[in-house]
Amino acid sequence: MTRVPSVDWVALAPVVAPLLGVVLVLVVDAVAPRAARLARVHDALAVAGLVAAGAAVTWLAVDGAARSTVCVPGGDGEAGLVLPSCSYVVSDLTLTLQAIAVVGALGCLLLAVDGPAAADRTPHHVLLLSAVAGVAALAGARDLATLVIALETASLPAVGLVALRRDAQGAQAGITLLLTAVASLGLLLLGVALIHAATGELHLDRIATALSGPDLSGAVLAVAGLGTVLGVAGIGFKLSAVPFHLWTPDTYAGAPLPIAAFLAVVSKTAGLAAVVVLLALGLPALAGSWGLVVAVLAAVTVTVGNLVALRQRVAVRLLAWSTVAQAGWVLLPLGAAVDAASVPTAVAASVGYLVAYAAATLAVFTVVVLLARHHPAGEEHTLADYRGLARREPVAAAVLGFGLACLAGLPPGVMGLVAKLVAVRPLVDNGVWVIAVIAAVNVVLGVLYYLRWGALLVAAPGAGDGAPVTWRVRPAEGLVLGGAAALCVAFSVLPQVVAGVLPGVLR
Amino acid sequence: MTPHPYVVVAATVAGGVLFFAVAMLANRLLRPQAITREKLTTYESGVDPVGHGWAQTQVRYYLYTFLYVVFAVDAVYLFPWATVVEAFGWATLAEMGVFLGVLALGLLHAWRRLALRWT
Repeated sequence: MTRVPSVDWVALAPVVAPLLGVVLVLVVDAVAPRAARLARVHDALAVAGLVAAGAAVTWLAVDGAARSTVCVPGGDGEAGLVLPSCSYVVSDLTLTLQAIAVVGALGCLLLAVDGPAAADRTPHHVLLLSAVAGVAALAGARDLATLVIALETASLPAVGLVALRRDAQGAQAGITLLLTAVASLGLLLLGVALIHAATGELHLDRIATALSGPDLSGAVLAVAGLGTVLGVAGIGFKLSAVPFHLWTPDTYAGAPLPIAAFLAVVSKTAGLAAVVVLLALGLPALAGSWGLVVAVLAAVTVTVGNLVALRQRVAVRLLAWSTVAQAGWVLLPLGAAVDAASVPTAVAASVGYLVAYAAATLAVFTVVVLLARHHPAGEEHTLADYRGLARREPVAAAVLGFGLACLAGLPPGVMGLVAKLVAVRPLVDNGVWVIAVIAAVNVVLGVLYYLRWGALLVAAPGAGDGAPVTWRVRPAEGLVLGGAAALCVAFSVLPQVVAGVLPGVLR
Repeated sequence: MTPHPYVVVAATVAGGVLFFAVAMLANRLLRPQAITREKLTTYESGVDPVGHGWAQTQVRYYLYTFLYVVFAVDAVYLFPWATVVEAFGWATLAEMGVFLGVLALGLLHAWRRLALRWT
């Protein structure tokens, strides 16, 4: 007789808090629909939901207790004692990914509140918070069904967010993202189904045990391997890894800018969380096979992203291609996994790179949002519009320059430099030299376009620019600008944070 | 000896096909054949057919379709739950209440946003 699994609501608080925010926003809107004077109430509720999620993550991290919930009991199986398995586990991995998603989403929310995307607060806040809840659930998901549902909860609201820019380009971007999401869901479901068919298990720890047995038939390994490849392909769409990246530039250019930042930070976190949970926790026994697949995928992604970014003139499109390249960097350490023992270091390097990438991307996007608001070309402005920014807006230009240095991995952006070293180290340790050399070449490629952008900031202003508009930075935007810059500086002063995430056991 | 489950499935499918084929064949053999032009036109509830088969549907039906799908999926979850709720007790009743409450909130939201108004 199956029982109702008991639920530990404290462990689930980072997932439930944004959802409570969603319910409250909907209730307020149902009481007074489209009330412009309640806009601040909606904002406060949405921010409160995210802050509560962040507080829950912090509390769980400080508390440090090993929590897990929605478990099935163990018992005597055919092959001996079976340990209980849980669908949701609170671990260093879970909390780190949740922290990145919550902080990134808070930044994007504050950037968006007075922008055109949030003109109607309710759909914007509801969709954004739902996506955050999805990422939070994904970080703790430890069975295949929860993984798939959480990943879809994280990605489908993003489609609505992109389409909130109610013009032809926004609709185009939304449709592109929707079709991509559906296609990738199909691949992921097929992959997950094959893994389940090969092992007969749903929980990732049991799948890992089933696949690490001594006498596995070749057929089981073939089916599980095929499932792994399809699953990686499905998640590759969400991470915008080449060759699954084609939606990225159009969607970023068609989305409202804060939403593009959301895609770059929170959706990327979701993609990495899915990859790590599926591969590192469910399939470490097959690391020798998927390591190679991920390594090739990452190397191609980094190279293509960087080469195309070199030719971009529009700031948003350059950022879109740069996030493609950075997604490759995030995946790169996972490509160094050659056996089950080398998986935890690779995961730690990946998540460390993600921390640095998220902070720097948020800083860069904040300045791009600010310039777009004060420029006649709006979101279509080009790199040339940054010429001489350091003279007009020294603070914003400094933040942008520092963020770009971090993304490029150049001093003073120590954070980015350390993250790149951390990402390449597992490759060198495990002797994956070809990929390590490709990574080194790509550091140079990346420096080229980030540096060109950074150099424009301090160049002399052009002649025909007309009278520059003085920026009026809203308090919320100032908060994000300061917060993102503070994170970048803090991680650059204390780079051991980036290098040392996930010190413990991977679970 | 009980037959293999797939044999039962195959027999059921074969029986269904046979039933359909025999019924249609009997119909064809027994009915009078008196074809007129009128009888070959599309039958639409006894009314003369209007317009083309590829007629466009009003986009505002979309919202109702959407709401219908939401609640149809909701029912899909309710039926298996209803068979076990007695064994599982109050906890699942409360959980289903939360689920239905969220759906009801969505419907309330659609109503207050005038999404349910036809004109």
